Amino acid sequence: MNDKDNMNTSSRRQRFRPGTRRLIQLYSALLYNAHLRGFLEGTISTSETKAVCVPGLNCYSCPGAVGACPLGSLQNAMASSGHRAGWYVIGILLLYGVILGRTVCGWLCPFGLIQELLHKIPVPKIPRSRITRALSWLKYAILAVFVIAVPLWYGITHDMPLPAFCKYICPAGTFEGAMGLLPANPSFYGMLGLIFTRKFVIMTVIALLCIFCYRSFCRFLCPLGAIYGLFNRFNVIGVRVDTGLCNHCGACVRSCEMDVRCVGDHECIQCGKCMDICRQGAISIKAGSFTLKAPVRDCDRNSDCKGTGTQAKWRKTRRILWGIALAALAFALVRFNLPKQNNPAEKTSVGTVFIPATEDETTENESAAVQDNFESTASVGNEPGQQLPDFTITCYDGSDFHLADTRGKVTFINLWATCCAPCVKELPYFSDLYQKYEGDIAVLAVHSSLVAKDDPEEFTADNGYAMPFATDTKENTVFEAVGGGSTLPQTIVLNRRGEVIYNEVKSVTPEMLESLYQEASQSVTAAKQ
Amino acid sequence: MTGKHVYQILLSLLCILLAVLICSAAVGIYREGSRRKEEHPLETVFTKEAVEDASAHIAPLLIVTAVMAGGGILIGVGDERKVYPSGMKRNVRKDRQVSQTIVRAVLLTAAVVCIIAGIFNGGMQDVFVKAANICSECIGLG
Repeated sequence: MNDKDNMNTSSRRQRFRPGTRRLIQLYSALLYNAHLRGFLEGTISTSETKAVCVPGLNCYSCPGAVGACPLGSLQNAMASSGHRAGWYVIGILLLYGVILGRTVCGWLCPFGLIQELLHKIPVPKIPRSRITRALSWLKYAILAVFVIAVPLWYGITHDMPLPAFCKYICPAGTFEGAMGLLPANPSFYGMLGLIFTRKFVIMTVIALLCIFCYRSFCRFLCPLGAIYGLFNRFNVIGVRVDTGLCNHCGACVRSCEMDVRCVGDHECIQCGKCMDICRQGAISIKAGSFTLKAPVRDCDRNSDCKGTGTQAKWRKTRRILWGIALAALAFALVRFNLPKQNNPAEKTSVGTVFIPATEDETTENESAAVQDNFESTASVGNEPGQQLPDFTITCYDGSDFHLADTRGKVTFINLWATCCAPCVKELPYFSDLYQKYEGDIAVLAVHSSLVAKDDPEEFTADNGYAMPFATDTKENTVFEAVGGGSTLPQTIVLNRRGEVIYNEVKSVTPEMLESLYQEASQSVTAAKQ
Repeated sequence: MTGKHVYQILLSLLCILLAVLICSAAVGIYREGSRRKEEHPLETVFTKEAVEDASAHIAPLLIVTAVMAGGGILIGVGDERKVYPSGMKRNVRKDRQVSQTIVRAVLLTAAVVCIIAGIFNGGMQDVFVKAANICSECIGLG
């Protein structure tokens, strides 16, 4: 092999060798999504770490996510402003903003990484221009309308959480959440409709734009970038220009693909690419006064000068930091991917669940209707055709809802949560149905056991719904009995014998509820005839 | 026009075509499903079979595009670096060190106070509850 071949091979290697920034992007993407088994199981992590927001845009409904999305949390905080101020999320955003600013976008955002990888596809690129510069203000409008105004308005006036950015725009939610959950949950196909179609098209268009235009979503649409951009003047860690060395040649701004006017302005994602361009060595990445990445000077470019003592020391420190970071990642991967220990003893000891409810266990509590007309021989389970295991749960009005007592009636069980907009939206439908067929129908709305302070009881009292409400026990008595998970809303319909005729995670409409009632009502009549 | 340019244009056309096909497939499934649902309210709009069928039609083009994109990256088709006209008045931000330090300190203190207040008023629990439940509507499932 001659010298020319050697040089070609080495330059090619150089081209494909990931830089520090790319490694940190990959690292943070993996750390934010350390719950890898979620992708296989089609479940999301419910670890306590989800109480903390990660700095970058990473959907908390992604099967891998181990932290909360700051943008989703902010919208939720806005929506619940009527009950309590969202100090926690505001504090977290302030903290990340002051420490990192848009360094998050350049170094720690998984969606930024995806956009950069898409932009690597070799097609003619749309250059930065006045139009892109003007479009870069769009994200502030999106922040004001979709993240702040709409959730705030709906939260205060309708007492309903409406995360408008998540619902109408966010491609990260569609890509990480919906597309991540669908393969392992074929039953979720039943939920897909207009919202999915709209968001899927938006996601595809944004992906296409990212191929042609550098970080299109980040530059034009991302409200999180808009928030962090406000802190770019004060962030502790970021790109700094040494005014003494700078000769104002403008090479840094001319080479930048973001819509910056000067290094470190609100559009600058602090990626530090301009450091390679600056011949003066005036640009560096600093944490306060401490230099994290030194400028590339001419002597470094020619590789004829050795690093100074400080640089050598920093290199050593960097290695140690990488070691610690990798150990933390390994710990996170092990912690979040260890199989759950299922202790059967715990399940059977769950206060009010009696599993299995076989024919021998018919008790005195069962109504006459059960014994006389509506006896079921179906196996116990939560799939259609099976009968649910019996349970008792105390409702908010103090009464006990005993499943066995509902035999002879059509039973609707709805799993919901106050933080879930479609759940809240469909509660009146259940209430209307309950009133319409009162006496012939049993309805129970069960709130998830994960409850924000003082929430569901107050909420249902304020809205005056007709049917009984309960919050599931800490052991998830009802959720386990009906096969509920962390995806809401879920509706279960039982016929007069207590056999499941419908059990789906899906929003319902009044027409659907009516059809389900008729179907459940007729199924037993037909069988009897 | 060089070979590189032809390659880039061809690839860009493939990308656009692929995006159009994907979007129209999604819209097609939705329209067909909606029509079915109108007749029978309990029918689902999207079915696994419909999605698999559409994916099978799009897969060959996706593979061709991916192979061309990968090949293009490997042979360095798109390695030209753009240099833009500056259009700037100044490229250096003049920060006053003292005022910046004060602002940082104030904002950091405010952040810590807000977080502590949020932990006590239940805001942290709110974040956890929201993050631990999948809100189907929020991720576009419907």
